[in-house]
Amino acid sequence: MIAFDFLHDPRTVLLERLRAYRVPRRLATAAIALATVTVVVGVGWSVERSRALDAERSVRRLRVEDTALRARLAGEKLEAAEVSDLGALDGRLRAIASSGSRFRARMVALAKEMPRDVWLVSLTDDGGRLAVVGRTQRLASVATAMTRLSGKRFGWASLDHVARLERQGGALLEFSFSIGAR
Amino acid sequence: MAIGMDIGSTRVRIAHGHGTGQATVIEAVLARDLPAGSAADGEVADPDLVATVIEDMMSELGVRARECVCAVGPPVASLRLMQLPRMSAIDRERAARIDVERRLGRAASDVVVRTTRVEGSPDNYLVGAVAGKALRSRTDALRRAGLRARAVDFEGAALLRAFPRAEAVLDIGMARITLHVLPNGVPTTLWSATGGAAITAAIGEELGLEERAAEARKRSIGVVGAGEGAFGEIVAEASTLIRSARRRGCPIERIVLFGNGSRIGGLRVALERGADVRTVMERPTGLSTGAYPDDVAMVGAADWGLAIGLARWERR
Repeated sequence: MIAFDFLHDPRTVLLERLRAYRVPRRLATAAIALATVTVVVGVGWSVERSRALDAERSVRRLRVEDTALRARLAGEKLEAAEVSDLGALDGRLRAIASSGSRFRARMVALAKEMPRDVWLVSLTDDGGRLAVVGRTQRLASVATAMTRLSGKRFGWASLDHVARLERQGGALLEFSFSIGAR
Repeated sequence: MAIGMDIGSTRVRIAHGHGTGQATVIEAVLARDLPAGSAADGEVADPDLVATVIEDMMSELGVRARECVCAVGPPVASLRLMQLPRMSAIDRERAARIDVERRLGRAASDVVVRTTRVEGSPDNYLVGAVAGKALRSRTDALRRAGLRARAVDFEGAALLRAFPRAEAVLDIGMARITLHVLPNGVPTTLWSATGGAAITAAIGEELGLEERAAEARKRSIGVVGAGEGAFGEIVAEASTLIRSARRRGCPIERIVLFGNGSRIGGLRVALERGADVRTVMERPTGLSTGAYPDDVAMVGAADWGLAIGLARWERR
């Protein structure tokens, strides 16, 4: 069977064509040296190329590991922040819990030490000081209340305001004082 | 995996099979019409258009192979036997080129010339010459379709691989009648620049029909009542080619018909009378019997043979 190819030369023709190129004798040494250098450089290049490819592969692998470690580090940082937040929350809860018992104790002390003819209208915790507003028929009872409360569960007391309530026929006094927390 | 690609003037055929060379079994053949003017005179005039058709066919075929074998033939390519004394490959190519230029009668500036030794005879060489533009246009169309030409064979060699028992193959194409014979194992090609298109044109002229209607009439009822003169000329041309081959020492008694022009009604009988030869339509060798039963293969043989022969190409 005949099979022709207009696109490529047969292998035998290529070999013949290569054989046809003969090197002159006086250039033989130089040609051999050039061929040897080419081969040596080629081998060196192949080795270096192979090493470069290995290095590239290692860099790619390390880059992937670095990315994974960075992701893990970010996760750890998030967890640490969460622990810190939880610690702060715990502290706040403890403060709230302890402040609740202190407040309760103060309320009990207020109830015990307040004279019978004194009525309290409002109590406001104003940044560590307790503002007390009340009413009485006698100014002396206010002084008694302030004296009793000072030095026990409270700090020093200061009278802020006393006024006669005109719409009650002038029988009642309205007062306000503040006492510090101990 | 083997793919044979026959890019004709009006159609593209692709044969796909498994195995290599003569052991190839063709499992699928596809044929698709080309848009008018996209290929003519052995050249691919519009590679983009042809590439689109090929791409579509390859996608329908659904194979991963990207290498194929295509063919060139007359008038853009020739293949002949030359006896050359022992000389270097470069000198041999120069000698072959001089011979080609002598036969062309002009400088072969854009002609690709290749030589290959005939097996078993050290002084005999096959000299192939092809117009560079025709070769490039084919490979360009394949490249644009995402394929690579593994080889570009000669049409005659491929046809004689598809019909290995034939003494000669007569290819009646659209614009060319080509006779391929294989005396002493070397393909000899004789051709004439006329074909089925001449009959279509004659029918159109005689009946006042446009080309498409005339072509449909030719295919369905042949040359009854119109185109008989052109038909007779084609039979005469084919007979002349056969007689010419006989004068060159090829005793042709039985001939395999190929090409869509060979399907024209009455052609076989007229040819047998005109050239005193027995004509047959033959099943292409290598076509899978499971995929293509005899009746289907015989109908398709005139169209698919070249693509099948190309799929059976083997590097020597």
